[in-house]
Formats: sequence, structure tokens, C-alpha cells
Amino acid sequence: MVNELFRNITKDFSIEFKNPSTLVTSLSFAAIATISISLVSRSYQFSPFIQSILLWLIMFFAGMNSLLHIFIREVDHGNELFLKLNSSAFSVYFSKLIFNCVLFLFLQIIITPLGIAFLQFSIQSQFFFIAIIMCGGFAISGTTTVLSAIVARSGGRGSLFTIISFPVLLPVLWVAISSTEKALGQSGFWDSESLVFLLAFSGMIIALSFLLIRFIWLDE
Amino acid sequence: MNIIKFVYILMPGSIIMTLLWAPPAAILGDTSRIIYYHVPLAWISVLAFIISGIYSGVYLLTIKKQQIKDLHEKSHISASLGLFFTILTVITGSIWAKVSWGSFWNWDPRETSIMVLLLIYISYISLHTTLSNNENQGKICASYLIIAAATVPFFVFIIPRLYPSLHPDPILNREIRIHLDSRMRLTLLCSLLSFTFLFFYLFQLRIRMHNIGRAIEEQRDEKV
Amino acid sequence: MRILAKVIKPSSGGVVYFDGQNEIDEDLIIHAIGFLSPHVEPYGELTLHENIRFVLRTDMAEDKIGEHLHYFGLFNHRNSPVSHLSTGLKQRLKYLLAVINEPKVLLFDEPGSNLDAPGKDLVYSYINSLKKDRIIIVATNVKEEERLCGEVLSLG
Repeated sequence: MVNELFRNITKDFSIEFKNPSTLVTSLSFAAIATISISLVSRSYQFSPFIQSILLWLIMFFAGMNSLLHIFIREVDHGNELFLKLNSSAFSVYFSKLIFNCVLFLFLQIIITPLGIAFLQFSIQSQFFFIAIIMCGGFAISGTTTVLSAIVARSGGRGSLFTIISFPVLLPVLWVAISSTEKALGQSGFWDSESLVFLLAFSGMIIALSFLLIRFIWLDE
Repeated sequence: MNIIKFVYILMPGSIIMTLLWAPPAAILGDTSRIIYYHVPLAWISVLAFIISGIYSGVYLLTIKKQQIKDLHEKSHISASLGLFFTILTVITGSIWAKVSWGSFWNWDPRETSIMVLLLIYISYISLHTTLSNNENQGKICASYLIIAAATVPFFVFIIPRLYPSLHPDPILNREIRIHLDSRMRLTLLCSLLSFTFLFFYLFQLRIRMHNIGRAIEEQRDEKV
Repeated sequence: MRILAKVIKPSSGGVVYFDGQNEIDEDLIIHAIGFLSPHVEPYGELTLHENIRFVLRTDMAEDKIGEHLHYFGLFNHRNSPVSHLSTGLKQRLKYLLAVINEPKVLLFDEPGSNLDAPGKDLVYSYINSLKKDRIIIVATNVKEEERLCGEVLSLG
């Protein structure tokens, strides 16, 4: 199982390194969105609340394309059957979960400095900000991985993915935006409850996904 | 005798109680009578979702043995009824919000919870429709519903406790008491019961319609 | 063939695999089956070598992998992306990927498709060599491929 998981992770990262078009598209979206907002607002100093909303919406929509891609690619390129013959549903899911977490974290690492540079983010509680960004990102990537498997198997595309993801992710966005607002606006702020909420949410969804992935991915 | 048919007596009786027997509330007056419809509708919205989730879970657990038929169809019927009741909840809630707080929608955490439930129903129906010719429709829709159902406790119970609410003291509060006058309390309970019976009555009707439709199709196939 | 490979379920009935008297667990079936089919597509972005490494369930020395590549005439293309291969070479790669884990059951769906005459000779002799200690099931419309099998079932 560990060997199979390692092979899947290696395969997914190799393919994406060789053809990073999806990642490039997501980063381009994030850059264009951030710069456009900065341009039309003429570098207006938004309140922490607005800054928080902008940050998470840019991350969310930039991530939508890439997070969906990891399963869609298998179906679009006709590799689905090859993958099913050589890997169990669990290792397929877990490898793609790890990939999505790394990918989204990478997006967040790029988007946050863009926000600081172009949208005048001023982070008052740095440790809490980093913690909420990581926990929120983990919750989003953990949830969207199984949903991308659902969309890939249904033959749907980006719009269906956004439709089915949004209601499930609303609690995450709600808590993440509220908490990020405080991290941007208040010095020395720390709120364990929101971090626990996000981690508990992620843990629950990932645990359920492990149980359900074979029903979603396999034709048994 | 089908106990669900008591809805023919309960529903009219409940309407009479809500409009004539229950006293008007202090301050809000007769407009408070909407509580006897809004709260049961909200309850049914959640009940339908729970039932849909249970059918989905049992469907996945018994999928290999296929001992119980039509579980996926029952899940879908419950979800589509739930969507209908959720829309009515949002409408009645908006009317009450306008009367009580001066605007139709305030994104109060409880209002947000029901809106998220509505979005989940809409997503489920969209997914179901997209998978209409897919033999894996049942499994995939059931899996999505279970995942979506798992998020419901977070925004129905946890988030309202993390953030302040405009809503009146919830029915299920820390003291586990209903803070209503005795006649109002009885009326609310009767209304809750009536709407529950109504939901199961409509559920049974939809199952019958589904079975009739399937029987017609099977006869058509036999003739061909 | 996909039903036999346990990747789709039948509308009725079922397939059960036994190892002697013992029924093989569903989750372990994939380890016992090698499947070749026009629908099985290796990763075009990865090289032949990377696809082999993905499929291999045990550690195999590089020279052993090299032997397999040589046998199927793919050694010179081992570092090329699969998308750059001709259909004939891709079909040979599919054979390699189906057999490299030495599965007990081999399912070949249209084994000669996309192969030129030398390619067909190569794979047919390979299949003949495997017949002694494997279960091989071939699905084909080609008469000459029937001769690969000890027993023929006509469907339809």
C-alpha cells in the first residue's frame, strides 16, 4: 500500500512538472485578479474585512481549476482504466489529496505576497495568519479532492465543480474569512476555536472520503 | 390502515389552530403566526435531508447484496421534497424577517444555514441531472449527499454558536425548554406533527408515482 | 473482458477467482491480473521507463527492466514520452506493462491490433511461452489468434 501510494505520488508530480499548464493558469488568474483589483481601486486601502474576503476569493477561484484537474486529467487523457488496473482507489485518492494540498499551499504562498504588494495587506498577527491560511487551505484542498473525483466520474466540468463545491466549502470560507480579518486587523490575536473547527472539518471530510472513494472511483 | 392519511385531519386542524386558536404574540401580534409554518418547514427541510442521507448510506452499504430496492430513488425523492420545503422555509423566513427586523434577508447565521442547505439541495439535484444516463448515478449522488450531510452539523449547530444571531432564542436551547405560552406551544407542536405527516404523505405519493412509471416502462419493454 | 478484469460490474451474475480451493479477495484481484486492451492507455506525458516504474509492484533491478525492454524492441525508446511512440510501439509497451508483474491471469483484448507482422510474431511467441503456467484469455475476431488458445468460445 505504501509502495503503491509512493508510486502514485511520484507519477502525479512527474506529470504535473512536465506539463504545468494548469498551475500556470491558476497563478496567472491570481496575478491578474490581484493586479486588476489594485488597478481599478487605485491602491485604495481596504478594511481588513474586505482584504480578507478578497484574499480568500482569489485563492478559492484560482484554486478551482487546478484542484479539479488532478482527477479530470485521468478521464480526459484516457488513463482512467490504466490507473484502476494498477492502483487501489485508496492510494489513488490519497496521492491526489497530497498533491492538491501541496498545490494549494503553493498557490497560497504566491498569492499572499501579491496581496501584500498590490492590495496593501498589513498582517498584524503573523503567526495566527499563517496558521489560518494553512488550516483553511488544507480544508479546501481536502474537500475539493473527493469532489473533483465526483465531477470527473460524472463527465461534468468546471461549472459543476463550482456548483457542488461551494455549499460544502461555505463553512470553511466563512470561518477562514472571519479569522483572517482579525489576523489582518488586530495585533497579537489568536483564536484556537477557528483553527480546531477547520482541522475538524478537514479530518471529517477526509475520513468520509476514504470510506466513499471506492464507490465514486470504481465501477464495482 | 395507512397512518399517514391522518394528515387529512391533522393539517386542517393545525391550520385552524394556528389562525384562530393560538393567541397572538406580544409585540409582533398576528404576524407571529408565521412561526407555526416557518419552524415546521425548517424542521422538514432538515428531516428530508437526514432521510435522504440515511437512504444514501444504506444504499452504499447494501449495494453489493442489493437486498433493498429503490434506495437511491427514495433518497432522490426525499431530497427533491426537501428542496421544495427549504424554498418555502426561505420564503416564510424572509417574510418574518421583514416584519421583525425590517429587511427580507440579513445573513444571520441561521438564515445562512438554511441558505447553505438550499444550495446543497440544488447541487445534489444538478449532479443527479448531470448523471441521468450514467449507471453510477446512484453511487455518486449518494456519496455526494453523505459528504454534504456531514457538513450540516458544522453550520447548523457549531457556526451559530461561534457567531451572534438575530434569531429568537432557539427552540432547542441550553435549558431544553420551549419559551412559548402553553397554547402557542401546543399549536407549534401540532403544526410540527402535521407537517411531518404531510412530508411522509407526499413521500409515499412520489414513490407510488415512481413505481407506476416503472411498471409502465416494463410493460412497454415486454411488448417490444 | 473488463468484467473479467474486475473494472466494471456485470448487469447480472458475477466473476469469482479461486486459488486452488480458496476464493481470492476482491481487493487482491488486481495483483493477479494483467490486462491488455485498446482502452488501456499508459501515461503519454511519462516516458516508457516511468510508466514501467509506475506499474511495477516490486523492486526490479534496472537490468531486468532492460531485458524486458529489449525483448519487446523498446529499449532505444525507454526515455521517450509515450505520446511520441507509434501505435505499434505503444501496443508493445502495453504488452510489457501487462506482463511485467508476472500476473497469474492474463487478459488480452485484440492482442494483434496495431502490430505489424514482426510485432505479431513477437507477441504470439511470447503468449505461447506463457501458456504453460498462466491462465490466458484472448478476445479476438482474428482467426489466427484463435490458434493461441487451447479452447475457443464463440460469442454471438
